[in-house]
Formats: sequence, structure tokens, C-alpha cells
Amino acid sequence: MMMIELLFQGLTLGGLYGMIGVGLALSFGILRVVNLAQGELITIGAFLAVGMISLFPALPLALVLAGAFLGCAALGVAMQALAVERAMAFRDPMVAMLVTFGLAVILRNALVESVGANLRGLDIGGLGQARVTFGGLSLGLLPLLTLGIALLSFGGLALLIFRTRFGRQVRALSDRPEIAELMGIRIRRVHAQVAALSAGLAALAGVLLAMRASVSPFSGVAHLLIAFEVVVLGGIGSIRGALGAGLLLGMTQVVSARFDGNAGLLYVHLVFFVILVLRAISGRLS
Amino acid sequence: MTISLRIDSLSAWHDQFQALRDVSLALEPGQSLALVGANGAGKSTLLRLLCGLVPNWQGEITLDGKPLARGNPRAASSAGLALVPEGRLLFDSLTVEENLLVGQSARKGPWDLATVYTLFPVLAERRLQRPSTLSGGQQQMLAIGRALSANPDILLCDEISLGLSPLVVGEVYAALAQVRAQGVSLVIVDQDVSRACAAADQVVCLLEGRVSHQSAAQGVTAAALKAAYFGVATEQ
Repeated sequence: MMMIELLFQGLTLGGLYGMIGVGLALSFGILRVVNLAQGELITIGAFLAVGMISLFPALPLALVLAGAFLGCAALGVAMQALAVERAMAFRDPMVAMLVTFGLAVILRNALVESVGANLRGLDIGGLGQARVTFGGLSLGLLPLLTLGIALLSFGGLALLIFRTRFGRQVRALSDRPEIAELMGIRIRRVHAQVAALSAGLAALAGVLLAMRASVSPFSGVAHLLIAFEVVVLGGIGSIRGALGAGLLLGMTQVVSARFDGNAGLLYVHLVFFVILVLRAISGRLS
Repeated sequence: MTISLRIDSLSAWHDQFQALRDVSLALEPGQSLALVGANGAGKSTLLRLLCGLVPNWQGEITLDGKPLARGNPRAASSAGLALVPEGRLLFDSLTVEENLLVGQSARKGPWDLATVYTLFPVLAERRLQRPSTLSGGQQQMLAIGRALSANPDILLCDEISLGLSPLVVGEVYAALAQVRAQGVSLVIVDQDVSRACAAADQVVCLLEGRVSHQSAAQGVTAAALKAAYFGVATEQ
């Protein structure tokens, strides 16, 4: 029984970590931009949800998620169109990365300026304590929801990328931008759409995070670190890889916390490090 | 659906390097052109320029009397130009069929999945595979199919037989003949001069960016073009 409980917690946290990483995987894999503002987008998604709930306490969760997604997606499009797209014109990928670093600083301080530096949590009423029972197995409703939303998001994203016209265009563009343009694909528009999707997924991760723990305007960097580990472990740009890596890291954290209550993220980072070392030894680091 | 192509005193640059000098040629509707010349003569530059991939040029290019937009691949595509690029440059994250679907455009015409599969039945058999799992010849067929999917008036084929066995080259040219029979103009760049000329009405040879020979294509062989090709005087 304890094993199942542990497994379930690991899956939930893993799904969440996957969500944190998948937006970065998208922008990394398709736009070839290391988006250092991804952590801030997650935080802004969380604060959008906090704001919506404080204005309309009875707002259903689905609408909160949708609102946060759309808000961050709009922000993602604006960032892409106004700044990142121009930086991408340079051959050196460092330029775009530095631009997103600057955007991250601006977003973080704008957030402190507008909501203050305090920790905030999402007020979800009795949801945090509610439990559901399946055949003698009692599971928390909140983690169940988190896992469900994460899996739905991954499923939806996979359908979008691998089964639709938009997804074909995205993959073609990521393979060979020049030839894709010959095929009539509107490069900038697809870039903006991918940026919107990536930011929207960040917002969903932010809302899920805010439901289980508090966030502050400075949480972004910690989220970015997790996102990086997920993307590097899962393979640059791989959606399935992001989910797998998220699950591995989430499971690691939950199991290690069982044996060493003060460990926090130590074992997560250790697992990441060990896998990198193993890859380096076997020559698969690239 | 056939259109004419007219190029007048075209010069083009890659940074400081001038790749084309004062090139003029004309292609009547439905006519096909063999574009030959040594490596670096400017053949690929000309094809890529027509497709909007080389922005730095001077001169005049008209398609059916309408000027071609500069450095705009989308405009070139909707004007009826499609490229089969050197080295095929297929989308490896897409299946064979998805490569064809991405090639489709808003232009109307006879080419859809069904007709491309009729032209290249082997692609239908492999429709769910990745291009990287295909043989060189099948990849070339896919590159042609992808370009045809846009229903172009003029199909630009760069180094069409590069790296293919003679048998496969024969199959590719047989398919191109069928494409031509549908009224699509071909511009064929190939190291195999006789083969390209046999598939075209007109031949243009480039030498260091200039037109060094221009004539009807019928019966033209590599030997006949030696001077224009290498820029050395032939011994009489």
C-alpha cells in the first residue's frame, strides 16, 4: 500500500516536472532558442491564477487554467514578435539566449513591482484535503487532478505536433527552415505560435505548482533549473523525453524524501549528474 | 496553367562574390530547359534565386510578364515555381506522406497524394516511413513528389542524378518525362549533359556565371559543349 502511495506521489510530481520542462523543450527544439524566461513565464502563470481566484473566488479550475494559458500565450507571442524573433536573425544562438535573459529580469521585476515580493498560494478551498477512494485505495484529489492535467496536456501536445497540419509545419520548420519556407510555410507566424504554446504550457505548470505550494516572484530560477534538467535528460526538443525525464526526477525526489526527509532536491540533481556522467563515459553526451 | 519565364541581364552576388553575370534567357510556356556547366558556374545560384533564396540580385525576372519578388520564397512558390533541391533536403522528422502533405499549397492542379503515388508507386508502399530509411533514388523521387505537390508551373531540379545509380537515373528521368507531358516546364541541372538535353527543348551552359552557350537541346552532348563548359578553346 505504501509503495502504491509512493508511486502515485512520484508520478504526480513527475508529471508536474514534465510540464515545467516541456515548454522549454519546445522552444529549444523548434525555435532553437534557450528561453531563460521560461521560469518567469511559469511564475506569471501561477500569479495570473492567484489573481483570477482572488477576483472571482468561484471560478472553476478549468477556466483558471484556460485564463492563465491564454494570458501567458499572449505574453509569449509579444516577447517572440518584439524581441526574440529579431535576435534569432543573428547566427549566434547566444544573442537570442541573452535577450531572453534580459526579458526574464524585466518580467521578474515587473512582477515584484505589481504583486509584491510575498509568497502566494492558490486558494483552492477544500480541494487540497479531498480524497477519492478506488477499491480500497485512497488517493488525494489534488494530486490526481495534477497528474490528470499533466497527462492530458502531454497527450494533447503530442496530438497537435504529430497529427495536425500545424504540427507538420512545426516539424518541417525545425528540420530545414529554408526549405520549409519554400513550401509556403510562414516562418514567423509558426515561430509566434510555438512561442505561444510554450508559454501557455509554462502557465499550466505554474497553476499546478501554485495549487500545491506557494510561489514568489523569485521562484522562476528554481523552475528553470528543473526545466533544464528535464530537457537535457529527455533529449533536446523531445516531448516524450520531457515526460519521461520529468517522471524519473519526480519519482527520485519522492522516494529519496522517504528515506531522507531533509534531502529536498539533492537526489534529483544527483540523478541528473550521474546520468550525465554515464552519458559522457559512453560517449553519448551530445 | 503553363507560364513563360524571362530573365534579363541578371547578376547575383553571394556577399562579395559575384555568382551570376548578365545572364539572359527565356523559356516559353511548357518548354523545358537543360541548365549545364561546371561546378561553381552558377547553376544552383540561378535556381535558388528563382525560388527566392538568394536576395542579392539585379536585373529583371518575369513570370508570364509579372515581375518576380526578390528574396521571397513564399511569393515564388505561389507564382508557380518549385525546387527539387540539390541533396534532396527532405524533412526527416516527417513521414514520406507528411513530406508530400507539407509540399501542398493553395495552388490548384493535377498533383495530389494519389497522382504522386501513381507516378512513384514505391512512395505509396513506404508512405509511413521516414525519408532517412529510403534509398537514394526513392529519396529523389520523394523530393520530386514534394515539389510537385505544390502544383508548380515550372519545376526546378537541381543535380537531379547526383549520387544515383544509372538504373535509378533512368527511372527518375522517365518520371520527369511524365511530369513534362502534364504541361509542367522543367529546368534540369545535371552533370550528365546528354541526359539533361534529351529531356529538354533548350540548353543553356553557364561558365563562371555567364551564359557561354545557348541552343536547342536536341542531340547536344557533352563533347559538343566542351568549350562552353570548360572555357577552353577546342582544337579544330
